[in-house]
Amino acid sequence: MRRRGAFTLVELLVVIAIIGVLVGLLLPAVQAAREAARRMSCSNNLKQIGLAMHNYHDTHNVFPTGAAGCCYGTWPVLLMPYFEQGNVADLYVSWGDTSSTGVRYSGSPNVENVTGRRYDMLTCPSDQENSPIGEITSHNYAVNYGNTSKTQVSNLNGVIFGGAPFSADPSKEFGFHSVTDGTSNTLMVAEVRQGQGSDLRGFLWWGDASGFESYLGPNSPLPDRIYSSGYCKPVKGMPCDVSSSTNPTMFASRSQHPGGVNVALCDGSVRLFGETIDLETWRGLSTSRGGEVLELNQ
Amino acid sequence: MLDCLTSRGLVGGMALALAAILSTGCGGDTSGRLPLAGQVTLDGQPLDRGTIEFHPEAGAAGMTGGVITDGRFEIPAEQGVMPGTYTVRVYSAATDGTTEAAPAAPGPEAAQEQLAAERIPSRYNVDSELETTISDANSEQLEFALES
Repeated sequence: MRRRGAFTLVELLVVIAIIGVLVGLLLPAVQAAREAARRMSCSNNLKQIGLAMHNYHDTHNVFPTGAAGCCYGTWPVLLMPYFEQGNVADLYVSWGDTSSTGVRYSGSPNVENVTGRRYDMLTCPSDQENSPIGEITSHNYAVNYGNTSKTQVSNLNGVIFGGAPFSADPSKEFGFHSVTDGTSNTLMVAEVRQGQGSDLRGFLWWGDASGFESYLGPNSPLPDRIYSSGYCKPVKGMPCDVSSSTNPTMFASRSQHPGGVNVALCDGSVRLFGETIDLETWRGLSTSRGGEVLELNQ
Repeated sequence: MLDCLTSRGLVGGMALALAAILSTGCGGDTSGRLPLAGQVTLDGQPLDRGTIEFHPEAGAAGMTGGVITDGRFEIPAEQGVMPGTYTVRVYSAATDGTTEAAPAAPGPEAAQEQLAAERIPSRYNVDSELETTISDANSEQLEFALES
């Protein structure tokens, strides 16, 4: 009875069980804390992009153009001088040259100098990185092209286009003056996920993927639309399908964060929007002159 | 003997605590929303690919949808709908290469994109007349037989 100096098997098992339970309780908490830190870093990137947009607007009195056609430059290149990457932006050639003879984002020297690099400020640490074509990189933030499709059709299956702060048409320019719904009621830049393999989602250097459309809700169960099925590799949480006349090219805002997506609004604030948000509210938020009455109870 | 008893009590307690932790479960709160699943056929054949959307009555919140693969669709309860009447829209892009013009964008020189044609008649999507009442009993055995 009084013998001491060694552990019995039962004692050992009890200790192991206690440790097991503690680890089992702690591990999910640790993982959640890590994800919370990544989400914070991700929303900080959006804050920086929002500030860069404001600085761009201070200089040019308009927001940067979303994209020049398919392949002749997109907004991140225009914004670079405002987030301390001006030296890189200076090396980008033939931005906006839609004559079909200029150097594309995928041509030399743009790949070596600009589009083949990865920019931490445009990368959300919660997502997996990808380079779908050669070494050209995908990133995680897309500008708001409004509530219909990438080409901003005026009526998509009954949804009426209500204006947007950005456009993929270089002939259109928007600024704070065109955001009549109010800058705190209009989305500016949202998260998107990088497709894996040859999937072109998040391929910001390419016109189509430079923006997101709120026709699809955040983390929508409905598919993103890409013109070719070769560029569309559906995985869990990222359905996709080819564009059709009733569902033209469009991309939902998506993220790996539990519950929702981070979005920078036109006033520069960053919010997490739950994926359960009412679709009408989400679409109303993305329009710049829709005239909707919205209440954001976050 | 005493040692042995307390140890056994401890082990029992641990097992009980573990069981209690595990039994609390991980099920998300779906607040009464129903999962949806079912079959879509076009002229008697399962629709190989497409999307299905459930639109609530005008003004109500809670539109949802999902992808149709080989005639089947499954939407988990987290993205499901409350019981009620919904307008159903089914879309499917033509796979045989036929194209048609997409709706026009605003602006004078808006070029119309040529995209894959929609092969489901508009009475099942854009101007849908297809309605369904979703209840606990049928939410996972929905059947939609479309005719072109």
